[in-house]
Amino acid sequence: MKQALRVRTEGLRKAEELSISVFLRFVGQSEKATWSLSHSGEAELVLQALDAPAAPAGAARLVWVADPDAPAPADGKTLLRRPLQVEVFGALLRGHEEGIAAAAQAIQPRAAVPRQAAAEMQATYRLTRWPGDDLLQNQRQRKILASFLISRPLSVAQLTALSGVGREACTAFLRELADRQLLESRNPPALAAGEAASAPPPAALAAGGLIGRLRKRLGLA
Amino acid sequence: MEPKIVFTGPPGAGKTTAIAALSDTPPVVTDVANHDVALGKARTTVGMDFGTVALEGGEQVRLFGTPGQERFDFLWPILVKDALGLAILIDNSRPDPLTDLRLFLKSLAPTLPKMACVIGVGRLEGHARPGIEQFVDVLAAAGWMFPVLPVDVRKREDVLMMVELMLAQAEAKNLGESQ
Repeated sequence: MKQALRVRTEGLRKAEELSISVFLRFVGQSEKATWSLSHSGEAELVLQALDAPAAPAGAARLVWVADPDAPAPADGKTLLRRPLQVEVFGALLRGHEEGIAAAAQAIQPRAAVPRQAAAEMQATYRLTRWPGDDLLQNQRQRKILASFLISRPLSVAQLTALSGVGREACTAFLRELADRQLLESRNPPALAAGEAASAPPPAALAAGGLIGRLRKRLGLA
Repeated sequence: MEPKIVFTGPPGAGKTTAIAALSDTPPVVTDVANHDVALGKARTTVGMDFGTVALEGGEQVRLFGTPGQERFDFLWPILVKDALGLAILIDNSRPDPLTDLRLFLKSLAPTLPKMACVIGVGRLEGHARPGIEQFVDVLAAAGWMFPVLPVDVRKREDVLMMVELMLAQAEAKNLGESQ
């Protein structure tokens, strides 16, 4: 059964609050939880601007939001850098779902939580079953996106770079796959922060040189 | 070694036609007169079909079509080994298309884990059952997940779609190997 979880913002800019609201529409649901925006009261996740006056009371889990060049907070809590990114936010939610479930089972050592949250920011996604036509809608782009997700788990950034499809369209498609239980998400712990969520390095694209030439030759590029 | 794409599937599934849709030159075919009434066609491939797609710089991608008869199943994994991609074409007008798919999955099982593969189901317009979802179920039961598409191999865009989905898988695999 899905958990109903809440996220609240503290001291964020109006545009950022709006972004969070929109992000929730795309990545606010998973197999484990449905997230909603809480405007007051308790929340399982609180996003607070690092320069806001005081830490909120009663927040089970606090995540700081800061400018790109702001120093990391001394408390070791997770930090989201501006501008807010939907895939990072989605990974954060998935990570907190895992953390909440683990805490409920009392098997998660407290000291491991920040490290786990950091690792879970690297969320990657893999298809678990080829989608039906109700989801593919006989659209070439959707079939291609689904195919990329067969071979290995990909982050949104990787999927965007490989497919050439915009981030929003990729995220929306992932969201639909997740809604239909056709997607698994992973947070590979061996990867350093930022690595998995990044676009493919030049070496990876070079490895696809033959594929690129064949695509061009067949008029698929 | 030059890269290759392989088309396999039971007799009459359209392997020769699919290669002809892509090849720069008329494919080399090794057809003979068919004496198996059940196949319902005058000629059938007993060796293999061969075509090429030339790339810039003199490189070429070879296109192979396997013989479809089950007695040649020892050839299938040999031809598929190290392929850039594999299309398994299924003829939905045959008596048991799901069993056809199972046969090819079983014969090719050792090569499939590293393979970019697509299942193309033909003649669905006149034979709607089994549906695409049932083929996906067969794949899942055998532990595989590949794209399953309705195809008409007489339409080049359908053949290109299969190739494109192969290439997407291959490209994602390359990314994994480079990291």
